[in-house]
Amino acid sequence: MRTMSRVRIRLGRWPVIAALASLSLLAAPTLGAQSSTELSRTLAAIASTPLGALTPVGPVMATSRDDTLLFGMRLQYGSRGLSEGRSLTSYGLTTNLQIQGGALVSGTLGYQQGSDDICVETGCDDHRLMAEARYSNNLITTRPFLRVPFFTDNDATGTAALQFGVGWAEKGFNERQHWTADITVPLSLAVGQRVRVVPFLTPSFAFAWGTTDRKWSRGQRFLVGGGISAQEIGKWMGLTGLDVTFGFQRAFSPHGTTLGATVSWMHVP
Amino acid sequence: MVGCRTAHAPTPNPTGVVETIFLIGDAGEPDPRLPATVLDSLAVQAAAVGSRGTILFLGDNIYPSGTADSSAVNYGDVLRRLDAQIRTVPSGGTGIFLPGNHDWSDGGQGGFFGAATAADGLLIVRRQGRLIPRRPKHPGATVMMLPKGGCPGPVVVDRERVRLILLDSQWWLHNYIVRDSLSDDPENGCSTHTMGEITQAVRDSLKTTHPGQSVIVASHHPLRTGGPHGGYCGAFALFRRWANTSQDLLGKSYTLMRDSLNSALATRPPLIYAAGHDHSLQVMLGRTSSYALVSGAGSIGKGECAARLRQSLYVGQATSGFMRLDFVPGDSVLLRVYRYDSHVEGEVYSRWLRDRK
Repeated sequence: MRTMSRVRIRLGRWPVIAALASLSLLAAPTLGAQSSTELSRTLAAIASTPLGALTPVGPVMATSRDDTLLFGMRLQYGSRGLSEGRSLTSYGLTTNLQIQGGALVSGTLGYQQGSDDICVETGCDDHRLMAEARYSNNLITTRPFLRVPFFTDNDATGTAALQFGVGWAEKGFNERQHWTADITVPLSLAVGQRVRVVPFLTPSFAFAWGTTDRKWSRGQRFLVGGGISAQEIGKWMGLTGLDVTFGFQRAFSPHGTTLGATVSWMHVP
Repeated sequence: MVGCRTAHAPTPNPTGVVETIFLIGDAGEPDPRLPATVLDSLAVQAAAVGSRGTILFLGDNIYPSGTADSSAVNYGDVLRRLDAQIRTVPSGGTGIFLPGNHDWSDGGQGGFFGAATAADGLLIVRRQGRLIPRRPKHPGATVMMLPKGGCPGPVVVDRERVRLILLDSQWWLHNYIVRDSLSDDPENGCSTHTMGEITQAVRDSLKTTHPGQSVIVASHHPLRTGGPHGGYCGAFALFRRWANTSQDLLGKSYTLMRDSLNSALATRPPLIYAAGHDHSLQVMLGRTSSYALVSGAGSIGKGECAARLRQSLYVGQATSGFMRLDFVPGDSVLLRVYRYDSHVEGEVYSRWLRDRK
């Protein structure tokens, strides 16, 4: 007890709690058992957080460097099909902050609802809140290198980006809460003058944690997302900053695909 | 062939055009082994408008390290590069050469050839200023470097429908104040010597614009660009923003210049801020000007990537070309973009410009 007191005095309470939590996570069993929703526990964790419940949007579209801080919003919809016609439907509202025309910091608040017959056991939760924080930055944009039919002015350019995301979802799939953390490397091609057409892929490596009655379990999974964005689609109407994206997020297992759509808007002064 | 996304505005009747300004930048590396398509096309168009036309060469008129001394081994090549540009100015027309960082011997670093020290940059840019009017030109053509003498400007050139406010932006990007006894000469020296004096003079130049005049502020360095100097393109783009390079938009000196000029321009935003520096053709909505133009594709083979920003209206990448502005009575200006590469040759974009601020 005396020793613990010293620790508290010198370091405060939070480092100790964080260290104990880290140890518990390292020692946690991996997620693997089947849940009542037929999703593996790792996939259930991913599917209930924005990483897997919603679909990706690809690399960030640049703005001018003299835009010190731009504000934007994103509305997202995602749907994951399960067996026997059941599904998970998710909605997300994201706030974006773009820093000096490049890096994007996003915060998402979402809601997920299962179809009416999603619960096969009593006490099952068929809806939940979820949230995510994400940082995105473009790493490399290539010279124009790929000629694309119908787009004769400029060849397509390629972009590689880097994203870090942390997601959370409240109780569901027999777990009290879920957490995910991912590293994603969005890759895209971009072509077009007025409307910029951007097909993209978003390979990710995700860690997932779930907890039941104070026991944490952990798993990891490789995901591939992708889609196509029409950026600056509002230029036709004289509106700047409007993008529309159709995408997918896929984990390589049964019921592992989410399909979705996103409408983004960035306030460009 | 031009794609369906390219916008074209109706061409004005040539008799209704009051002034024509051509914008071409970074033209100081014409490759003698390649057809001089860009400069030839510019010369033909400038000849057609004659004395109504002004060609603004937006800096980097001689790569890589400015005007060498007449005893230097590359002096003959310097003359070839300069003459190729001067020949585009027709009889009765005007050619104005703005200094760029390479005309200052790559900012005094000496460039590839160089033995130049930082102070030599001032001598080298003055040498170009003296050389330009002495080179062979079409009868009646006027060619000059403005601002001259290594002075920062602004220099105001008034035409009937347009006021040009010209700056030597490289002056800002040295890490010391470039000034000597010639700069202080009361007769032929600089009218401004400090950043505060420059921005105040820009404000005054904007405020004293005559009714019916549109304003173009021009310098070599852009205040907005999607090219490599903006930290967007290439493998090192992410690192360039941390490298504090004076020639990049996010460099410390450059940021100071951007902030200072943006502050001055905001008092009465001009129609256009025109610049070169990035080797691409970009038409953008401006922050403190109605439009921001980057026309730095004057040399064939030097074209670079340019990211399409949300503010971009047209982007020509990895290409060469120039821009043309036709001023008609009233407040309208027709912008046309010409590019020459394996995809397209000729006009690719046009738009009527009006003050948005």
